Amino acid sequence: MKRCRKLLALAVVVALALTLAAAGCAKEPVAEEVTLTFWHTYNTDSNENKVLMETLIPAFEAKYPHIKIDAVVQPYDGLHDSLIAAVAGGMAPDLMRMDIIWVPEFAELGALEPLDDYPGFDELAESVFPGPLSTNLYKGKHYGMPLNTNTQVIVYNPEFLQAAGLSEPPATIEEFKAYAAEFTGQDGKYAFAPGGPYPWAMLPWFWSLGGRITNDDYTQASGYLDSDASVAALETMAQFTKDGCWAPTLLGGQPGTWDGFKAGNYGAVLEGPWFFAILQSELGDKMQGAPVPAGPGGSLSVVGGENIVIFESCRHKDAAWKFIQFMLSDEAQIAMAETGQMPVTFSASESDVMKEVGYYGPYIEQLKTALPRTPVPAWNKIDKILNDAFESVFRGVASAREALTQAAEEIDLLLGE
Amino acid sequence: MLERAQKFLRRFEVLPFVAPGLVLLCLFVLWPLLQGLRISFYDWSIMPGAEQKFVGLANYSRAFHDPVARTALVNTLIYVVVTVPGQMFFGLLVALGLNAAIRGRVLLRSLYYIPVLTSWVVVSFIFKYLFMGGEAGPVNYLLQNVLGILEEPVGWLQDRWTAQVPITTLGIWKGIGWNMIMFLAALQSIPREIYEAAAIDGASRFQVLWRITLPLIRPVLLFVMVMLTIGGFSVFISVNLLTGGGPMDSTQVILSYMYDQGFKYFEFGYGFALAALLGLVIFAISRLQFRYMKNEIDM
Repeated sequence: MKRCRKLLALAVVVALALTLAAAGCAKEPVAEEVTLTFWHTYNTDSNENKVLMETLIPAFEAKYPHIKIDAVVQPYDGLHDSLIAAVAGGMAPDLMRMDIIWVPEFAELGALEPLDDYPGFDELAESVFPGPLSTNLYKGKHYGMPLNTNTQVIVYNPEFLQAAGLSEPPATIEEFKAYAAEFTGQDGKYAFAPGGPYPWAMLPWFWSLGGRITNDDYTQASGYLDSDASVAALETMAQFTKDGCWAPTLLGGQPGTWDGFKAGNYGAVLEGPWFFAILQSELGDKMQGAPVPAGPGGSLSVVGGENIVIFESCRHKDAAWKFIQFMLSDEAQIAMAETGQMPVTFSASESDVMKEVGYYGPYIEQLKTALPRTPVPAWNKIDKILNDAFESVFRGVASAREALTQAAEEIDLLLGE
Repeated sequence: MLERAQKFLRRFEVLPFVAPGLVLLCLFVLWPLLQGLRISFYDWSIMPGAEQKFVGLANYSRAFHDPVARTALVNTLIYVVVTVPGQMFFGLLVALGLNAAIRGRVLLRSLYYIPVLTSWVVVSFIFKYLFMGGEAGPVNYLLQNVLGILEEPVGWLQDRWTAQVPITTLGIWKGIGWNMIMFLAALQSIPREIYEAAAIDGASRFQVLWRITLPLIRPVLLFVMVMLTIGGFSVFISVNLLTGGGPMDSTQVILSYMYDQGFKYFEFGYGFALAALLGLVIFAISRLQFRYMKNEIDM
């Protein structure tokens, strides 16, 4: 009986406390303080992170005193996995700077918030490059905004060019072949070191040599990926490997592309602007960027970059939208451009910064024609199918036609879903 | 009747002592297990509150027609067939050596046990470095430049069959210590008199090992074999970190393939179906082993 009374007393106290708390909530003013979690992949000790933490976020918080940004560095390796776990567990961040190829996938999942109806969306959409903007599109709606863009160009070691008797980097595939014939593995020197058989490293060659993955609507691969032009493109790439002008890095050989380039083993690599940003102090003028050598397809590289998205589970979406608008302002875009992040807005890319950063030149040129990786939710699977198709040809397991025909069939199934 | 009731009541008396463990077991083992089984019958979306599509046995029939799943099963079997006897052989060897009165055996026992305690992740990265392709890889350097066995460096992790070398070596190396401890305990339980009698009868060392030691520790040998088999089928971290299942899915094991299906492609239903099938295989094999063991031990 005594115990009962104690329990009752406890229950009353708890009930009272709850009522009080509820009443307290109701009286709170509406403009409460809001904290937004923002995941990004700027390296902890990079300039980008420094600018974000020391310049941009303080500026944003000064402008909107009631919004606090809790920026969290996420390592790119394994991020896809931990993001899935976070989404499934209802622990997704409010905002995220996300690889452009993930957006359709997470949009299909229902994890992202469509932005089309937010105030000022149309003006903002008009202020950015249409290419990067389109990577946010899924079923007619935009599930993010572009934040920074990039592409890859060929970075040459000028000493190799000199040794081959060239004053300029090869502009066409024919010129590249002539240059490459000089370095086919003698003394461990190779003309070019590919990063691997994966699409990010292979597509610039494949496209420039005339290959294609799908039609323009991204609905069909058969007839494109297995066309004569695509087969010929892959055969040329396989020939580069066989002749030894492409280094064994293609299939995991050592030293890796960066180490081998620094050590003078590799005459060229395919890299994004971060290559210059990171190695400038070490290599100085021992690197020279140039567009991908033009083949039957032209000089085509691959668009990379990040989008900024709001998660569907975010409870303060209006505040998050304000942060997106801020990150696309000239102030933020130009500050980031100085650290090697190529801006996505017209106004920022016309600013003087772009001329001051010397190595941007070939990238700006290359971006004019660069193509996106197939922007569909199933890209992750397509990426793997293409990787395996290319790799099986490089390893001599399958002919280019066999590999691409099979890959096209598999990709057709995914595009039809 | 009364006795039975008493027995039943006694169960409740121990309940407070086993309850915490029981609750934890239900919460962290049984519930996820059942939930996983349920997911394997759906085209499962991971979004909280999403509508789930029931697909019946589709995920299971897909597993039977998936060539990569077959590769993964074969690779898993290779791993079990190589690492289980490998660990037991070396574990027994070390245990026999350290069972003798040699100097510093306490230190040696600790040293052999260290690999068991180190993290799979850390040693996987170390093995990845050791078996790096090219001339800079320590194993290649040893085999090519020091021992002169290889003509040219091997890309260990770049081929299905050469990749089995680092994967199984890691599994054996990491397991020796645990086997050693199990076997040492068994060896020390053998009465000394039996050996003395054998010595008087003039048994050779090999005869002692073959006719006395091994038969007497047989129950432990069988128990260890069952445990290692279960562990071998669940190989994951080392494969995931050493090769990631590549090149071209040729080194996938069941669990690494399951992980890829779930976390790379959002195919959680299919992933759980693979896991359920693996569970079934393990269950069947351990049942067989235990049955065999029971017959053996009830001597």
